[in-house]
Amino acid sequence: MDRMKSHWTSSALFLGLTGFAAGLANGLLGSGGGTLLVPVLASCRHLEQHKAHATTLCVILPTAVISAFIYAKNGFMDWPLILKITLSGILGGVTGALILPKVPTGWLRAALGCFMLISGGKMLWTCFFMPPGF
Amino acid sequence: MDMLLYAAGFLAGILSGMGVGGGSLLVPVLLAAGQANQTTAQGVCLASFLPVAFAAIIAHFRQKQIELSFLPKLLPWAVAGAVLGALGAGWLPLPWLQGIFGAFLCLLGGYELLSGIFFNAKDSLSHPDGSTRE
Repeated sequence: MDRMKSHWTSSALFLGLTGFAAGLANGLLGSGGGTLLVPVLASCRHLEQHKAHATTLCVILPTAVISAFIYAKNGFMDWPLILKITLSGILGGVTGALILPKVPTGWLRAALGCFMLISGGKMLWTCFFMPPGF
Repeated sequence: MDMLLYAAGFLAGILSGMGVGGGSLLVPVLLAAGQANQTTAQGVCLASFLPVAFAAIIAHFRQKQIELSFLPKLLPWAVAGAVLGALGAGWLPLPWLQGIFGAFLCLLGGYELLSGIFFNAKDSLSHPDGSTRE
């Protein structure tokens, strides 16, 4: 069983399907594709974390470009809002890289996980119980 | 209200710099602040990801951390997924899209929470200096 499993997860088909799922998530939901791909590359393909991260970015950037193009055609791009978020996001990214070695990443991830569970649960709740037209 | 947006972008940037998805924070905050609906919030995630990812890829490429042999196996599938996903985001009714996003957020949140809790022990073994990546 274990051998079969490791055989299947190291196949080209599994890699392709994961790529497809990552692209689908990124296009449909705007983010999250990389979160799927990094652990698969790290554990099934035995890439070290840094390489898994870098390779994932290389896959996700083209999918984000294409998705952004389709979103723009559909009129989903609020450029003034995007400008504000992007500028402060770049500042935050630099800050994050600088303070990374001093931050207890594990606990930060656990805290973010809690936030995601709560806000995700709230969105599910809204989807099922808000009146139509919301 | 603008200060809140800048703060949200800054925090999301910090998280992305740590390899944790910024979108999982950005979309719920933008929705709660009433600054965007589901699709425009996702558009913000996509667009603000582009410049940061582009800069990061150049840095990773210089450090030879990108596993180029994986790209032909992953990219075509990922791009196909992205086109399908982005078209789906325009086609699905907003509450449905929000429900799917919420479900996805719950799944990823559970994963983040668990791996965050187990992360400390595992990571202190592989990186004695306390760093996580890079």
